[in-house]
Amino acid sequence: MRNTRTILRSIFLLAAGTLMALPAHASQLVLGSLEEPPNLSALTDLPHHFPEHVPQTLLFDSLTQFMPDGTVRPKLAARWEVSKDGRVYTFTLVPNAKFHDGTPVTAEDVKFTFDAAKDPATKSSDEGLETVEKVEVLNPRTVRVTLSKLTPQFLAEGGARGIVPKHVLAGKDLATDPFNLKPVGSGPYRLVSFTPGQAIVFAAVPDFYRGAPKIERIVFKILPDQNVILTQLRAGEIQYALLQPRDLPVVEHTAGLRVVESPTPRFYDLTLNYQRPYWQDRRVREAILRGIDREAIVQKVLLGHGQVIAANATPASWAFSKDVPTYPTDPDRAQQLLNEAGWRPGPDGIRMKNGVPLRFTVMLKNVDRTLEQVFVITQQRLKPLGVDLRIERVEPGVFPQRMRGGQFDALSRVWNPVYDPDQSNQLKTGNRYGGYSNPEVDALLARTLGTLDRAQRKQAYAALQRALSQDLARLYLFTENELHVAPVGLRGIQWHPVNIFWNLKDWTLDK
Amino acid sequence: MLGFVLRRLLQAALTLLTLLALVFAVLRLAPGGPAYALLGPDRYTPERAALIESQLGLDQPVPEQARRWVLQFTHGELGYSYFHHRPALAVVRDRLLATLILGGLAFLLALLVGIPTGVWAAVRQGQWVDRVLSRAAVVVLATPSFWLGIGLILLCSAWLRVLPSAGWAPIGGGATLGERLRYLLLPLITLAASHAASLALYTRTAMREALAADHTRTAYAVGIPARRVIWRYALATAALPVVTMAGLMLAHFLEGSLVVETVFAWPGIGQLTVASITRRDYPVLLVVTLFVGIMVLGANLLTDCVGRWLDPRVERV
Repeated sequence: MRNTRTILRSIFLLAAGTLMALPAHASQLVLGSLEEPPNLSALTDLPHHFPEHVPQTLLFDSLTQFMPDGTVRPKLAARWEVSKDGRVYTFTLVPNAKFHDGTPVTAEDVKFTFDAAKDPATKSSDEGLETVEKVEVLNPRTVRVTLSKLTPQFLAEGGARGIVPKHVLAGKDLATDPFNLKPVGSGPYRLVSFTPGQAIVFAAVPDFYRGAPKIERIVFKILPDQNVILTQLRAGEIQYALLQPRDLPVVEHTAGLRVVESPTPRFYDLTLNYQRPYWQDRRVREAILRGIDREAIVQKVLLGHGQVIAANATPASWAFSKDVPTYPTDPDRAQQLLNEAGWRPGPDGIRMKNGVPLRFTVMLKNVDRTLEQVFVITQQRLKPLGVDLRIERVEPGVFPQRMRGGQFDALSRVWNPVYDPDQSNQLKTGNRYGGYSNPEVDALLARTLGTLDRAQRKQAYAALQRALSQDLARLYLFTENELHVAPVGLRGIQWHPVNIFWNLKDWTLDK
Repeated sequence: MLGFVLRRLLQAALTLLTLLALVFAVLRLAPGGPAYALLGPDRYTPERAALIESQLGLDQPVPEQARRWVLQFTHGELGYSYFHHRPALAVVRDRLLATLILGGLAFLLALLVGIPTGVWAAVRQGQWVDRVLSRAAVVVLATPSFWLGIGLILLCSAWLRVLPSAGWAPIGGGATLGERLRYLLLPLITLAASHAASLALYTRTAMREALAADHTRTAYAVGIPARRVIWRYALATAALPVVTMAGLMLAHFLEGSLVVETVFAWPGIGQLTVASITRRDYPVLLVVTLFVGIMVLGANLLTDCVGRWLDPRVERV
């Protein structure tokens, strides 16, 4: 029939058309990401994890640079002085930094950025700037920031805030301005295009004040599904992505790709709600921890790409201490502890005390597949001990409300202390993260925040980790490594606990 | 006919209003809320949440919120996306275009492949052509679209490397029509396949009945050429159930297929809807409901009209 023939002919023509080669770019790196940044302004939030921080790191420079070893180096601020009481910072800016529209970066822009981030009406995040009291412009290159109290995290966290241009944004509604989608920054790359749901394209700024970036174009592709990312890696359509441990075999069979494994300060724990009477007995806490086979979890769920932790810092953090008690898995010891605590096996095998069964529910976010696997394993491990663990998966939008409202027995999630190890808001007396309270821990938390001296803080953190582990404030589980897949010819990647893209401008890509 | 269309339009408008009111209420009754989703677990404090809720007007009682939304709506304002920080209409419009292109073309492809295949199989009833075609259709119908999609990607993108595996245009813009077609081909086939198969099976059954009918036999008997009998007389009789079926499919195509959009990273409305539910982005969800509602109701109306045009007897039933 004529119709059929016509259709076949068009299909053939289409197929032939597809054999044309794709246009190649001089030097271009294509990243794939599951997540899409809601907008590109540096005022929205501090970048916390891949892939969020790619756009911000590329588009905006900040006053300081948080280094892999946890120290802080100059960036837009060439140098700074700190007053004796640690409350007043005077930053001197580099003379040659420019926004992408050619306007110099001045002290006015720093003041504008900090003020805007602090202003609730702009719907911005004031993360890292919570204690900023006053920002004064002394001259175009000098800005003075006064804090309400000594804040050792300020230089790293507040210093990481990307500086936005005052001359573009002054007088605008920052919550709705088109700037959020087409920002003008002072970073090593400028924005070429942002197509929501699809891609963000960046081009190198040739006259960048810290030296021109080596890779000319960065494409940040938004892909909705991990399987799509894997297929695109295999098809050579993207060259860089974040992997799950189970994805590794795919990459191993694809030529030209390699895996960069990156330890992180991220960790998982079991946060206990101290309103529940059973958690108030330390023996129960230790028994549960000894019943969870954390080594097996790291091997089976993370496929070995992680590590068991003893307290709230991981080896990737400068605050990490090795000198912390650990509680190796020991079901016999767990049984013994539960017996001592008065929990006796009931008729159905579940332990009972005063007529109450030893039963608790772990609340997880329903998007967290890793933790779901972890607690299915844990459920099976705790059952022979006479502990009935149940799993409840809730929507991410509901999770914070339940957590802060104390509507849970125990919860598990990832904690991500990125720029500074401080977690006082979760641990000090009166916290709304399960209500743990311990005067010794309170005193140590105060010590960790009482000085700018790194060595003294490190000591205080070591003591804090010991205290938390001794008291089993929470049941600390494990840390996971990030698995980045990159082209073999990509050079210059340097490990960083927060942001592996921190030195992206110095990366090179072999042809 | 005009009276019929007007009556149906009025019904459609009422349905749409009820739909919007339901979605509006359900969203607000669901636990959690935009403040929690926007702040995340660690920046969340009751004070910050309260501030966001008052900025978004969510501290008002639900009827008052509804009143404000209707007021805005009558002024042509569809609200601001909480998450994207831009007008909800602009957020939805970009995605809607992608869904309409993919869904519309997939619908055409399903019609162009499904109906002739079904007719062919019915004409060669019982012969090998019929057996092969109808069995193939059952297999295609039973194949989940994510499986077909991933299979096609592995074949054409990862192995043969002739077609791009995801997205809807080359990054960076400046795409020619040919390039766009390259991106369209795999999602189009994946989305159309099962629908084409089901249309083919449906048409085959309807055609077999039509071919066995008295008037068809008479047409053959008076010497009208076979091609004309099949395509003109038999198909006209078989068309009514097929059109009803196709109409239901059209609505389905226009809603956006989450599975196909996800597998091919096609930036359509299905993906946006799921993401917006997680983010509790009420304005975007309402605009999505509005447009999808209009399209589904429109598709139904179109089906009814075509049905009546094909077979005026419908009017009297």
